[in-house]
Amino acid sequence: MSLVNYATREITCKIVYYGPGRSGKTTNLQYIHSRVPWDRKGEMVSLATEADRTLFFDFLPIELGTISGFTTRFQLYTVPGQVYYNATRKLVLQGADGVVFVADSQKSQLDSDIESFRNLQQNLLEHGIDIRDIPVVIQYNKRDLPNVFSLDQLDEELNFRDVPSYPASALLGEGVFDTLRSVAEGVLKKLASKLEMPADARG
Amino acid sequence: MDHLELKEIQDAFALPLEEFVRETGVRLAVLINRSGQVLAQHGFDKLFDLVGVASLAAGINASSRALASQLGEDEFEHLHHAGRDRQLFLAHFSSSAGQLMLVTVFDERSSIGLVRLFFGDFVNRITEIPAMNLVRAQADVGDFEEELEASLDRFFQDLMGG
Repeated sequence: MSLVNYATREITCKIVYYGPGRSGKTTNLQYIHSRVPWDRKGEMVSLATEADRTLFFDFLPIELGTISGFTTRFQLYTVPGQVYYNATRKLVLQGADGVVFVADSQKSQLDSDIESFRNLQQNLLEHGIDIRDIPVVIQYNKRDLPNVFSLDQLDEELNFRDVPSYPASALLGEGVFDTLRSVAEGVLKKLASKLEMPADARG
Repeated sequence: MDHLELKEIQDAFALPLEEFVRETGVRLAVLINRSGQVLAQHGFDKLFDLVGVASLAAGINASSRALASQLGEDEFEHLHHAGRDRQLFLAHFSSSAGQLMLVTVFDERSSIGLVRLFFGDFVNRITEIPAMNLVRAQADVGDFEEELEASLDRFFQDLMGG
């Protein structure tokens, strides 16, 4: 649920990075954290196991700047990808304004990608959200690895709703900001359709 | 996608929150929603990374509700964690702005008994607040949409080195 403060002109939205285990969700946040200037980000919080797998979530607050006089802040979360952490995935998803689905492009991971995408739809439904009603962006990650499916093939398997999709190599930073920009734009456009602007906030 | 007008909440909750802090002697009281977003705060927030505290508290609350449900309970009343110097009290309640949580940090100048006692008073005051208009009607947002792409271009060009 996005928050709008007309008095201080601030907008806060929640984006959740979803996807199968080891697809690169945390890597996306780590790269964003490494590139965003210190005055536009908060602490990155990671609840991980000893083996550095996400146990509950990673969290990174960033500020995108001012739009029409409103300071826009995004709270980025990841979910744990492993199948048996579904209860926590569902918890992190609540209140999301937009979702980035991080798919692993490797051929061997297609079944996990499909299962995770179905799981996303199911968990959204359990929060009363139809996946068609929330901005979703798909990132085809690990393009730098061998034995990956083509983007067309991945679109065919995963992107039957024709949402924006981006190739990425999150470890190298490629595609990370294209993805973030796209989901931010989707979320803010959706918010704008519900936004009531006081006269002094215009122009 | 619903959204809340934050100023409305801050105005409505400012006084009850201030009284709660004064009466209990806690160092910090933060109101958050179930998504972990900070709605209002009172006390010495400079000591903590407030946004991080809020996201973690929302996580604890969400997982404890899920645990309660698995154990056949509707919900657990509150959570209390005691450290050597500081303690944390986390409790949720219904309000005209939906389900909210109060996160409280306190030290030896307060006590869990005091915090629990005045949390009850705080909730009573909150329930007296009239309903808020949570969802705004659609209106002219031309400027916002016009500026959106240019603003995003600026921000991401900076990050990506031009």
